[in-house]
Amino acid sequence: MPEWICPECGTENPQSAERCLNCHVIREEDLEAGLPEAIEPTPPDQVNIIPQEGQDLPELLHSLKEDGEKAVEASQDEEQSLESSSEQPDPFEKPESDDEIPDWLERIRKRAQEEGDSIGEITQKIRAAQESLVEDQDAEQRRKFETWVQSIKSQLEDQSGGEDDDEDDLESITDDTHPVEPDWLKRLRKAREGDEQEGSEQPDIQGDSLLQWLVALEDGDETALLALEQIQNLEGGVGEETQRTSFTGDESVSEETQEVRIDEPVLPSYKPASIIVSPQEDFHAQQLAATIRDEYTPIPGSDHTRARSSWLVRLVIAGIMLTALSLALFGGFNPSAPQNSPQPHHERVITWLETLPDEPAVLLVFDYQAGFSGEMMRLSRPFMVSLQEMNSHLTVISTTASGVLLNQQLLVDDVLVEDISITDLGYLPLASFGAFSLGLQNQVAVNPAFLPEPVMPLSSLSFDGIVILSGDYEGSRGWIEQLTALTPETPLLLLVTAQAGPIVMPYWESGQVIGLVAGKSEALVLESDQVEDRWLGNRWGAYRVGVLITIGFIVIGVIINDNRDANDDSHWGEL
Amino acid sequence: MKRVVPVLIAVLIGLFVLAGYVLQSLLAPVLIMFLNWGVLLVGVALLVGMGHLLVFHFSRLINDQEKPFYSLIVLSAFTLTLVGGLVLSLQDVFFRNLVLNILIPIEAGLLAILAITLVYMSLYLIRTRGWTVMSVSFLVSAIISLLLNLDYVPTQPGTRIGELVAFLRRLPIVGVRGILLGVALGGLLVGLRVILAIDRPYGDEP
Repeated sequence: MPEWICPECGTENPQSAERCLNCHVIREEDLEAGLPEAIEPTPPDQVNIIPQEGQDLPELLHSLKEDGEKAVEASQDEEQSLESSSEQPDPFEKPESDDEIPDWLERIRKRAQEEGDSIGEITQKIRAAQESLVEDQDAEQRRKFETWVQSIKSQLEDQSGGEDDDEDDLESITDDTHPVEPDWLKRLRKAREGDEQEGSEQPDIQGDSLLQWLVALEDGDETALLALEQIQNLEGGVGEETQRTSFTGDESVSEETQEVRIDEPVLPSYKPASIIVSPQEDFHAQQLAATIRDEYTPIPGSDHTRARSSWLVRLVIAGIMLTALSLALFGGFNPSAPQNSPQPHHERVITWLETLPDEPAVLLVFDYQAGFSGEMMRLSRPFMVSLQEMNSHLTVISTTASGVLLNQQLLVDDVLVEDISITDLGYLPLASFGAFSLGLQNQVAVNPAFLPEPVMPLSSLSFDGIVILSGDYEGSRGWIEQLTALTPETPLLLLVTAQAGPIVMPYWESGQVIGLVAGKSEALVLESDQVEDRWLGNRWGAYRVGVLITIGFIVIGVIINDNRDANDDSHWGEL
Repeated sequence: MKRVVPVLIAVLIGLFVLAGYVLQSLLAPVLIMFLNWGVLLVGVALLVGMGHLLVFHFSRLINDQEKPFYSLIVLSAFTLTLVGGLVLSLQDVFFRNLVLNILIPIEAGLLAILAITLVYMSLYLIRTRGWTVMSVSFLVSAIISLLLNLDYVPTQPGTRIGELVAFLRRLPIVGVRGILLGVALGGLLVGLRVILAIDRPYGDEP
């Protein structure tokens, strides 16, 4: 709370008091006009560097300016008085206009000037009190100022070190100690910019140039920093300067509040990193772009807009095919006996059949899928007829899951095979395992008790021959490789489909297989030689017609597709 | 230890089987035992595969995933076949005809589709590759083989035509022999790699 000092007794009275509490002298405004304003002893924690909200900042600045002018004049007067005398500036100096000063005051001042010891004890105390107050406040201000300057120095150091931290530091500073930049600060900066344009580069440390000096300090001006160091090094002069600034009413420093102007550090403008592309990289990039363009560019060429065949044409073609096959199959057109004589591998099969003893024991291995059952039935029929005539003892084993049913279909349901003893050993997975175990068991004299059921009879049987009925070469190959190595003395015959015939032919040529019949064509040769009934002949005629149609499709399709675009995948499936 | 035991078992059994070809009289009982174990394991593996298939289709049926109708067909067919085989036995004529009359036409149809697909692929070969030496020779050899199998050309031995036809028929066998030799050598190499623990097909990586 501001106070006023009674001129008579020197008692400090509250501002609201109209009379002195001690001597009851009426307070006059004229008295206060000539006196410096009492400095309110503000506690240190209430010193506001930043103008609070609600304060009239323009008026505050105006008052600072007025105080600054007064401070300048007072400083000039003080200097003169200091030159003339070593005394401190007398607060009771004669005002500018004599008319405004009361008589009693004038007398007092005159007396103080004339007589050195005229200043009473009270006045001396007042002066001491004022000085102590000023010193205290100055010390506090100095402490806060130093703290603030240190922070600015650290900011400046960070600025010089890394430009990327400017914004963060500024934000930290502004967030911690300073609010958003107020309008009065903007105006000050504008004024400063105007001063800078006028060419005032040198920061004026004294008097009202403190603001400029602070700005220069923010900007990192070396002279300002040097001045700051000088200020910090001065022990007694700091108080005088601050006192001087306080008495002269510096514009930048208010007696009530401390304002520290902080200019935004000039942040370096962000420049995106320039991409440096070498000519070689540019060339490669252009090549890649051209390649991508070429891939999506339609290939120019002749337009093969072939009209799609109508459904009627396809229906007619399908009808012709079905008619031809049906006539061939059911029309009773038995082709003549094949012109070809039996091949050597056919003759070996015939020879083996002829040399079998009475009631031979033959092992039949069913190793074909259900899809080949038709071909295998027609293929093996002549062979089965021959075995039937010999009253053979057949042992059947299947290495496919459906082989158990297929062998029954072949041997039981077929009326051609009757009155034959058949021993079904069931299903044995992994043909090579079964063949290997079969071959080994022939070598073992003792039959182990822990053998699985399907395999046990094998050890006590000796076969006059092993016939493998296979739809592909893999199953027959396993049996051939295992049995020919372990039981070379047992004859091995193959009855395979036409697709497996060429692949297993080398086994016959090497002597591992004594005979081979592959496909219906070779079975037909056997049929013509063995049986009179041309049961296979009708099927053979239909088979020939089907193969001829397939050849025709291939030839016609090749000729037609020659005129089409090879890359046109949309024609897939139209055949 | 976890890696050593499978390797040890595989190597020992492989060496036993290999030695069994040479010392059949001595190692035959042991080898038979190993083989029977292998056959049993394969059978169990088939059962496991069947179980997994059932679980897969059953889950699809329950969770109402995409196209559950096909899973329903699979499960129904499996159940019908299993129950019929257990009740009627494999020797029953009705069961045999029931299964084969469905199985045979389906597989025959698939084989026919395969044949048509192979024919079309031969045509597509010309469309994609064009008239190159390989494509033309492939098509010509296929047509010649089909014609020769039809026995329209007499192959009487001693005649020039017969010898020419026999020569053309034996040409594929030459290539097949090379393929079979390569398969045999490849199988031998794979077996040696398993015995030497270089390849570990049982799940552990070297």
